[in-house]
Amino acid sequence: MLTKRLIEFISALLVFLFIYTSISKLLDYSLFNRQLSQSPFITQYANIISWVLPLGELAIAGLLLANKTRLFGLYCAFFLLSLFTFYLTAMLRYSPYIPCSCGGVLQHLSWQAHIIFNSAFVILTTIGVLLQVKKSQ
Amino acid sequence: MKKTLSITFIAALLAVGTALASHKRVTTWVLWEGSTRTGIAADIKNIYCNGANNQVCAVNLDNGYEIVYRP
Repeated sequence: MLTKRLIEFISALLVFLFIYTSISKLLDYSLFNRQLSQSPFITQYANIISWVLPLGELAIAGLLLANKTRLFGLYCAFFLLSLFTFYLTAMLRYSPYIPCSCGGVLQHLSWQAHIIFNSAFVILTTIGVLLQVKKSQ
Repeated sequence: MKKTLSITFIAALLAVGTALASHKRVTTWVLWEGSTRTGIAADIKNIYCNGANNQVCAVNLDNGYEIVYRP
């Protein structure tokens, strides 16, 4: 019962995070696209990423909503969060210029705080995956 | 199944509501050098605080905790 509750709680947190940030990005699409195009690592892919990222986040949130697709959704969330944490770390270490490409209030976090925030969600997602796998067995 | 769906569904609804409510909220900001500017957070970031988020650039005068950072 506790396992089920924990999985629900983690899924709800991830759903909130992904829907909130994706809608914030889509509502401020031109700003988000401009910020991505200023990033030295992904400038040439900015137009594609500025659509794929928020829509992908919405799709993952959709996967997390249903019990049948939750495990796949958790895997996708883990992949996306890890990728974004890697991107943040790489930007912080190697880029001389750092535009913020976050959605909503998250754009006000410092980059160090952002990495801590992301890492916390990566850990939560890992716990969610392990619990979901254990529950499925 | 029904309960699981409802908790995550409530989270989804809350996220939509929060994102829409916080979108383009025009507020007054105090910049690091003491001047005040009015606008949405994204514009303040883009016009006055563009670049890395290393130090405080502007603080929301209406609530005091919303902060925009600058290089």
